[in-house]
Amino acid sequence: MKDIKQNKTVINSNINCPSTHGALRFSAETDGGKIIKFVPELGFTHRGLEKTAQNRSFSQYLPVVEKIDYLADFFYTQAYLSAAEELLEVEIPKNAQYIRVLTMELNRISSHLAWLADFAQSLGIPAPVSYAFNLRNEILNIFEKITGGRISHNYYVFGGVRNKISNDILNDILDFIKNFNQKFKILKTVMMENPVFLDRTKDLGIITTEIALPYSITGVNLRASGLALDFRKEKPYLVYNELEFIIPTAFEGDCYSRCKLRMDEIEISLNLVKQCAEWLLANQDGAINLNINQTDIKPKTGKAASWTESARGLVMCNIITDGSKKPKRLKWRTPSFYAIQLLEKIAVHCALADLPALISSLDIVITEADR
Amino acid sequence: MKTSNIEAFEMLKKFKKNGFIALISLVAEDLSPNTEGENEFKLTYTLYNPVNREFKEFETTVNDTACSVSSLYKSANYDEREIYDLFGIKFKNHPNLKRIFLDENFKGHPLKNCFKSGSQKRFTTIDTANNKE
Repeated sequence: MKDIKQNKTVINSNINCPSTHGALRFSAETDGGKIIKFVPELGFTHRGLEKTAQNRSFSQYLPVVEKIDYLADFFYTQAYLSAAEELLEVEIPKNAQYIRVLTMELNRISSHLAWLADFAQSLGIPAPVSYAFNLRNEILNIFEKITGGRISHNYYVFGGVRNKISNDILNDILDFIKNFNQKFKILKTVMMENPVFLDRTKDLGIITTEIALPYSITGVNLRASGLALDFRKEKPYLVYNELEFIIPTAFEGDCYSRCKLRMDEIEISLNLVKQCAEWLLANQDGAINLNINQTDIKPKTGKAASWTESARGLVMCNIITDGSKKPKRLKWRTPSFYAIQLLEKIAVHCALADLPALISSLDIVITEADR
Repeated sequence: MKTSNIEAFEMLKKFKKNGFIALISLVAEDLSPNTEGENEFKLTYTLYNPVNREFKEFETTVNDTACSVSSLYKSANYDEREIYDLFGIKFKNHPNLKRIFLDENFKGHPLKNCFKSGSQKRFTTIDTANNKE
């Protein structure tokens, strides 16, 4: 639709537009190639996951949780189980905690790699895509060995994890880490030293801390603006306070720094995986779950909230129970939901040609926002 | 901390002045029985202060209407739209209070205790288009 007098054009994106990661519909009002109003529309993949929880028992809901985010499902299972385990008043064994951290950090790497490929593609740079997906494939192979599944794992259970990680697989993981750096270096060079990439991402979509905090932005998007808020350090869960790691931050807050931070996070997660694998190799004898009857989960009346730092930011799971086998109310806090809202602000004054890069740089997964 | 909704907005204003500039999450819960009639909801706000690295939980009970805090916290805009969509709580002074996940033709609010699953009439996108005209 074009208004000739005012020279304004309204552009409606279809829900299967490839530049958005999932079914995001938006309408952008443009004036001379610049966006002056941006209105996203949610709900095209809404599956009523919070309502579903009220009609399922605690263990029946467990596989459903993984479908919130298909790129990083371990974080959501951990958030759900950690809240449920708080209500059940159990503490999971040390070995299970290390295994959960190991798998979650591997998941963080695989999620960031999938994002990298997507980001490069949205910028029109095809070279890094195959490098990133090749590396991700190696991680999915490890997941397949550990859990039997590549994308959906159903590996965590109430009170621990389903099965042990054998020494062979742990050695495979250590080998993978050894070889990873060399391949990752190529990917980094192809991406970060590409002049087209630099031109298109520097000073684009700047998010300052003053903008990010009122919009409740967490994760890499917030840390790129200078505030080192990472819930692995802020509210340590599992064995994160026993592991050594730093939180990288940047101060520019643009697309480039968000990309650079995710690259840095991959290296830090790799180090965490190494620490966990070495600990597990030295302590293979411990129990990995509490042998809780999985079909008979009946937490006491009360409420619990869990805080998990996922690949995209803070994931919270609030569970309110009334002593029955089903939760009375279950609420998810998903980081992409807030990132989409931020787009309404930062997409204004951005050129229409830069919009795919901007949307992609926030690492939005629509299924996660829609729930 | 528990207050009624009239004081809640003023309290949140005070918290914001004291440095709690981020609303991390907003959770609603239906407290009313499974029948139609008087509604009672509990809203739980989780706030964060980045200077002192402090978190605060704040609870308030409301009936069918509540004060919108989207003028204080930008993130509350979508949060309140979601609560309106799923619980039917109307927020006063909200800039754009309409459904966020479900279709505009959808009748009822699914997370309310009195909502009966399967009681919905099926509708198509053509119905929505016709209604808009």
